[in-house]
Amino acid sequence: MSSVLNGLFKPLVEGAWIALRRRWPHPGHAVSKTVNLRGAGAVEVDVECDFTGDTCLRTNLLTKMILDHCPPGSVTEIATDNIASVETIPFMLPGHGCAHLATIRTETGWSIYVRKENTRK
Amino acid sequence: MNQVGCEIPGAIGDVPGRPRNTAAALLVLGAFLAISLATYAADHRFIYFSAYLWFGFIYGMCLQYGRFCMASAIRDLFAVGVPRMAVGIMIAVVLFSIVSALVTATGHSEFHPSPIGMYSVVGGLLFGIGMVFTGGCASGSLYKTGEGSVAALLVVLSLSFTQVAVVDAGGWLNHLVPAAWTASAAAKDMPAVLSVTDGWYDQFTAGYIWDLKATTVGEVLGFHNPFAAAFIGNAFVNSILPSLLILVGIYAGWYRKSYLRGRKEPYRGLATELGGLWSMVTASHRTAVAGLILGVAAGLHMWVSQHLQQRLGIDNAGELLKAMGHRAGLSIQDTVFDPGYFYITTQEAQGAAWVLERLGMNLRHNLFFGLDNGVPSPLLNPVLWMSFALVGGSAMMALLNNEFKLKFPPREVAVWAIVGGMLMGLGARIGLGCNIGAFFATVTNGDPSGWIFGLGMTAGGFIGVKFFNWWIERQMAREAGALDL
Repeated sequence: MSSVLNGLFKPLVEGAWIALRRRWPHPGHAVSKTVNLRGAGAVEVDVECDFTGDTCLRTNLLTKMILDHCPPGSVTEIATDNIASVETIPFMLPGHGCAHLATIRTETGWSIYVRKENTRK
Repeated sequence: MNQVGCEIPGAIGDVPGRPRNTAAALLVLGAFLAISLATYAADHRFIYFSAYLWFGFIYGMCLQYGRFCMASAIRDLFAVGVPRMAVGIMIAVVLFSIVSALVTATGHSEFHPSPIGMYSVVGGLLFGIGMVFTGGCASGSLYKTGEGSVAALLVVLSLSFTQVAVVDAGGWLNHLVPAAWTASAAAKDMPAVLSVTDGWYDQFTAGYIWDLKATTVGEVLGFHNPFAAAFIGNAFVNSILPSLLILVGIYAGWYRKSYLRGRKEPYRGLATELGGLWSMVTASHRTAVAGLILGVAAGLHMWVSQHLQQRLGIDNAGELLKAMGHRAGLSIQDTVFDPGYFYITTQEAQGAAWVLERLGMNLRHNLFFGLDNGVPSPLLNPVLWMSFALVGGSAMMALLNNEFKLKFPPREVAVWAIVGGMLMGLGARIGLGCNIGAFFATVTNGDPSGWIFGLGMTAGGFIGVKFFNWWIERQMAREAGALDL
């Protein structure tokens, strides 16, 4: 067993380190598009974030970081296929000076629309 | 753009034009029904296995419906300040403890408390770090597997095989074992076939764990009346009171400020604070409902298991397997792992061990598999039936709600899943269980060791969140300028 472990351990750790050192693709970028949201009407989207395939923690943390950097009044579209994040993000918005506009089901998952308010947390 | 708007935070619409997967969901349900009926027809004693199966199915449905995950509870609190999952888990703890108290008081409990010691903190710490890395606890990873997440399946596989490696590792690791553990293990006079002084986990178990004292709060408080011991000692003092204190702490630390800021009415002292507490508890309908059903089901599971054992005249499922002629997977005591309540990780380790035994490894010489748990075939492992059914129940719920999606992880996510799963496997074996077996099932049955594991798991979750936060900030800093706002 020990020899099996020793044989597996080194390449596994090396492989893990190489994979982890790769840069995560940046999920957010500035855009200019209009979407129609029920209850909010036509809304100009300023930032798009695509977290499709990501885990909940990375989705939630990056959403928090990106929203903290957004200027007041800007609207962010967060695309995710992680249901836990879809339900957590609206709850975390008030603590980050943001308002939840809508959550929309798409073919690949969900899109959450968030407006940064003028008030800071 | 296809869209179904939803004004309620967290509400989810259907994909326009896509029918609900009712047929596929019914197929999943039908498959488990067919297994139950066919095995019962073959031998009525398989009803004991089916009890595990259907409670597993209910657990899977509840976990998926409420997105119930202890990794989520800890990391959402520390990472983004959202307490809803932690609140849901405390609701489940309170409910499970009340039902458990009834089951215990009426003499139908199969629960055995774990020894109290610092091992719980170490195990919980490693498990907590691992579950934040993977994005799901043991039960969370199982239900997410049912939703189609291949990353969650990798977590389950990683923690399963790591447990086998942990309990079987010997060689140079024997030199790291304190001499006192080796001497104490040798003094236990175990059968020679178990080689109890070879392998660090055997010496940890026999030389350290077995020397610790296990008890419940009901026993510590000296209640002679079983109802007083179960309801006052186990449920109220060990479960309900700490849960209420944790809820108040969460309210004060994470919810109160935003609740008071959002109120239009004048502040009315305690009435306002209680209103805030209630608002926090009911903020997430799904989580609260899932916690409620999960708590009651977990308690009922204990009652049903004990009732069936009495009806079948057995103390352990190994007796059934032996009577049916399936002796290959039994331990040297003719037993298999059979807790009689909601539990995860040991049965997954048995599944991994069964695979490795097919590849030629001998795993019966260690205490973990050899003495009690055995290595039954997955088809004849009642507790593994529960895990399979948990995945099935989750899949059915996800299909019904159009939330099932086969998701292959990016390479980075897969690496985190495997590395985190390894930490979870190591933590689960050191801590004698996971977020369910070493925390949820213990704190609700009057066992204070569960809170010790919970403390370690929370600290591990906190460390994991801080590390992950640092990691992501580092990545973001490298790409500064990519997001031009």
